[in-house]
Amino acid sequence: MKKSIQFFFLFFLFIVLSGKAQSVISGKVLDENDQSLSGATIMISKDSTSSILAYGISDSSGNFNIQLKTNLETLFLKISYIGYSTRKQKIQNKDQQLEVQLSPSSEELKEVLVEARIIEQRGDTLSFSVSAFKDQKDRVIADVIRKMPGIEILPGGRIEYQGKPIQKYYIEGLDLLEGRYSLANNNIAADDVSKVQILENHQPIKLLDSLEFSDRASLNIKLKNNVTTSGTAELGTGFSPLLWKVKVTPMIFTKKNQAIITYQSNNTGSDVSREIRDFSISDFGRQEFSINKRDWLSIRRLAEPPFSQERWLDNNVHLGSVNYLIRLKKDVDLKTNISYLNDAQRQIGNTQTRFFTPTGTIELVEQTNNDLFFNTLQSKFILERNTNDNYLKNELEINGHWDSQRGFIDSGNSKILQRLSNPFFVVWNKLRMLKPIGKQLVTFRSNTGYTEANQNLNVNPGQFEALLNNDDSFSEIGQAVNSSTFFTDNSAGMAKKISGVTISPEVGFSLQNQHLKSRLAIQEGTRGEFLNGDFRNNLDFLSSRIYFTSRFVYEKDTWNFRLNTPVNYRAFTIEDFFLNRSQDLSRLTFEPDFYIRNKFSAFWETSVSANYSNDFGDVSRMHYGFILNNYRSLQRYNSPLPEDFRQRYNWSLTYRNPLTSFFVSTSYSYSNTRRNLLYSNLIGENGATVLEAVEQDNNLQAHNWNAKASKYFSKLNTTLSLGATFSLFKGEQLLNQRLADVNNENLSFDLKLESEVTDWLSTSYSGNLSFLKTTIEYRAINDIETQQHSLDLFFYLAENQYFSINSEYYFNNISEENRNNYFLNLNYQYTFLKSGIDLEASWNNVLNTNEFVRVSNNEFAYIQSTYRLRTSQLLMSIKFTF
Amino acid sequence: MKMYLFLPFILIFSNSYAQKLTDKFQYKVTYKLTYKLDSTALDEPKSEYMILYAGDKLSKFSSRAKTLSNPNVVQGNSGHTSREALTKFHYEILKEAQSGNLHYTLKIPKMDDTFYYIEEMDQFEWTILPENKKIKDFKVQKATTSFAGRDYIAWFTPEIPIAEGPYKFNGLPGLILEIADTKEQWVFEFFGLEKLSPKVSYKLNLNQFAKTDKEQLQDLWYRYRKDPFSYSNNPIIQTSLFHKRCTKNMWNLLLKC
Repeated sequence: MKKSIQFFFLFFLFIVLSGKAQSVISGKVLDENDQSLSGATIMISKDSTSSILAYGISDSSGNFNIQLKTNLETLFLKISYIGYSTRKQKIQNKDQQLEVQLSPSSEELKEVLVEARIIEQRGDTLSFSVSAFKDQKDRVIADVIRKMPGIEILPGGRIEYQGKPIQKYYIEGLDLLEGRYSLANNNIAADDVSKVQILENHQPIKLLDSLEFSDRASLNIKLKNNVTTSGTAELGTGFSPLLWKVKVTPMIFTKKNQAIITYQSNNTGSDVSREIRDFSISDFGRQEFSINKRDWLSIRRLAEPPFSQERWLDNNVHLGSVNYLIRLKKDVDLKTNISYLNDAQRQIGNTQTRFFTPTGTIELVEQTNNDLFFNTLQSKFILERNTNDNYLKNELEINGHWDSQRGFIDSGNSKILQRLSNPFFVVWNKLRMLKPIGKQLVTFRSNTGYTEANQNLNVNPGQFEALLNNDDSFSEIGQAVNSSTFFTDNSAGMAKKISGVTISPEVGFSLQNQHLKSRLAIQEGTRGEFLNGDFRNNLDFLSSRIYFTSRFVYEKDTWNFRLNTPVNYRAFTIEDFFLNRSQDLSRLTFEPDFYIRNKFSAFWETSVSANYSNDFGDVSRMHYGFILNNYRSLQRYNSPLPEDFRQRYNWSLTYRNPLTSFFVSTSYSYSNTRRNLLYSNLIGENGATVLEAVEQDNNLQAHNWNAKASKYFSKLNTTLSLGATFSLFKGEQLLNQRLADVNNENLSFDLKLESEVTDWLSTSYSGNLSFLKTTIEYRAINDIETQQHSLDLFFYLAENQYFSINSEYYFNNISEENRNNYFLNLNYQYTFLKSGIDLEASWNNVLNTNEFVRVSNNEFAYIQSTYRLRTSQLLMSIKFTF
Repeated sequence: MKMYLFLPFILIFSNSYAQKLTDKFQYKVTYKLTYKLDSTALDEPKSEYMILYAGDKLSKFSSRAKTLSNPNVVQGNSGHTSREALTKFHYEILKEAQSGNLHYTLKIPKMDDTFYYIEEMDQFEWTILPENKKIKDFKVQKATTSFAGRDYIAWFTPEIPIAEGPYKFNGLPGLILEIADTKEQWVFEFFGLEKLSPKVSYKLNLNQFAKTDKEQLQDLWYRYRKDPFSYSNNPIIQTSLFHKRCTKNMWNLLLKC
């Protein structure tokens, strides 16, 4: 400890008059045990009631030294120290050395208690006036919001406040769109908004307001008028071929009713779903049932290029969406969202697949020509009651997909037509309720739903002749699948804090009942025949689960502990009447999850986590009869129920020095999965694959390591970041009845550089280099090397104009031709400040690169796919608000 | 690989030369701070409660919200940080009479970044004036000083022999109960004095804090306030096109606190 700086408070005179005598009064203050007292105050005044003339405070050894100028004969000296009786005495005004001993006193200071009401003080609402942030070129409210301090709008449209996603996006206090707020954010005219409020630490559930801390913020848009009609429109056209782009979004807001309608259509490859994307923060890790569309059957698709779809998607899309909110009574809202999407897409390209079998290499080339049709109706009804003593939210979702696909494949010696009808239907109800029971607040959740998929795939000519038709060719094969799933999950939970540990127990049960019916038919001329035996399914799959889980959280100083202890009892009953097969299984599992974090110095932090989990298959990985998933893949799982036991460990270390803007982090994770089933692939000469599950214990191991570093150079306005990742995957596989160990290694390096060179130019570069190495026990396969580089330049030509150049380069070492792919795009935007119109011109694919090649691999094959891109095209569009 | 495994141990080891500030606080003084960010009074004055804890060796001054945000409040059935634990003032000022050092510590909100710098406590030239008045039954006397470009008027009471005060202020023969600059942009008023029993023990491990100086910390705080998003991520993430250009002017208003 530093002691060199002595603690002196010397003299101050309150009146300086010339000719006064100066005296120095010094001394030492001691306690009753003759120990020095530091911090005692020594005051000198004229008498006991008058103001202070001079003062001192005793230093660490109890010494004081006071100089004063006054003509007084006698002085009044007062020495005090907290917890000791004050010494008062008269002294002569002359230089002197004093030693003062104080004795302890029980006399208390008079306390002034703080009134309780200030404890009730509430956090402020930050309110930003739109007019302060808006300038002439801002059209919609998103343009203004992104300038507000602490707010960031990510490229996908999600809004973050101080680095965390916002919780709610209210318009006049009403939550019309829930997580799909981009629709409002990108279309409400900035001129109609008076204020944007940020509700920090906002708890949207009133019942929890004083109970549960929220670290998230919400936004509230305050409009200027009681009744507001607003909206935006965008029209665009271009060539070649003739391109169009239309977007109209009218809306109306009143105190009790709000509606936003949008219609969008284009054939430019633009993503219309972007504005209706849902950013709500869902109950993470809770939902066991997915209501996303699931396809049993498919045509062979092409791998999509990894860049913006406006450069490759050949579409013709129409989207209509209606969102309506009505406040039924105080604190009760009903919301309706209905949207309809119709899209026709075309994919052209080819796929070269090289299979590595124990006996040799099989090459397969497929020239692909696909037409995809999407017809989707989605509807959601939400009833929400949010009062101070009750919370209820019920969501009902009904979605229908009437999709179909047509694919044509030319593989040199055969021409194959695939026709697919893949509709899907789902009804889903989700209820969440909070209720105080005694002093406890209990959360009830209930999820119930039903899905149905009746899908058909027809392929001409027939495939798998050897297996299905005694090696005779036939004209058509048809696969029909009817599947349905009913599920329900119900639980009750609460939270309690016991000596620093927050414990949240939850108890519940869930049930899932799945039916699968499938038939495979072959047809020769007009004669058709359903195949029996192993080529049909009539499966009932019932799984139930009773669970009790507790979550423990403990945070202290620099430590953070989290532990989850779920105990599950699961029971499965699986039965196929026609194949006369059945099995029953019940399991009691304990699947703990543990996490510790420690920030052990100002710059360093480390964390460790471990978890153990059991996964069981569902009907998609458990059916006794074959299903033709696509024209060259037959799959069945004629085996016990899959059971995977997985252990996972993770360690990470972070160095973060904000003073120098230098961050480094590294992490390593290891996982080991023990499986009871091994998957066997039988690959035929023409690439046709038969997949079956075989009962045999095996292990999958994965190692992952990554490191990242970034540094911001403030003088250059430049950030440099480097990254490296290495992953190693080991497993076993059965390929053409031969068991082999498979090793997959992947090493990749990243470099990013972002710089604001000057006021009018900013630039960014990113590069990636990656190596992929696969070893199958019986043979080594060539490494795949890929490179990806992109360079973007943005020129801010003037206040109302900007110009950008985006260029990209892709390389792979496998393709014999087209190893190098180059792309260039130009974009220009001009804003008419007075009329409020934006004009945008873009020239996509300037170099007219017509194909993109990418290479990937799986356990036993290289896949090189070539995708036909949109040709070089010019697009002009205007955008205005109304 | 191996080197990384050892790094934490090396650091934990070096940690054993811990630099710690510890004390048992005996008194708790509550002040109300009323502040105006803009002297043109564009903004309504805002206020916040601030707490000074005093012990034999150490004193700690910080916003009341900060003193609340650490111990989780337990109410009903769940632990939480209370809603009122929101503050504009993220510093804690620790004055250690023995060494004469003033430690200014700062934690970046919602993150684990913590910093401190050291100044001398003795940086005030007080002029004691003969004026007296009463504040909540305490007899106080007037004193003036200049600090950071502003002139301050303080009222201290010799009846409480603690040579302490709000913010960095100290060194008068008695507790400062009220202090304000002459333009009244920063006004600290006395609100309460409590004797703590039992005493509240306090420990601060300075090794958890990055040592810096006043200028560097001000730069960093400016960088954070200007754009918390790029502060926390090292601005490699491509922010929206106009974002950076547009924020600059708007910020100056908000940066003053």
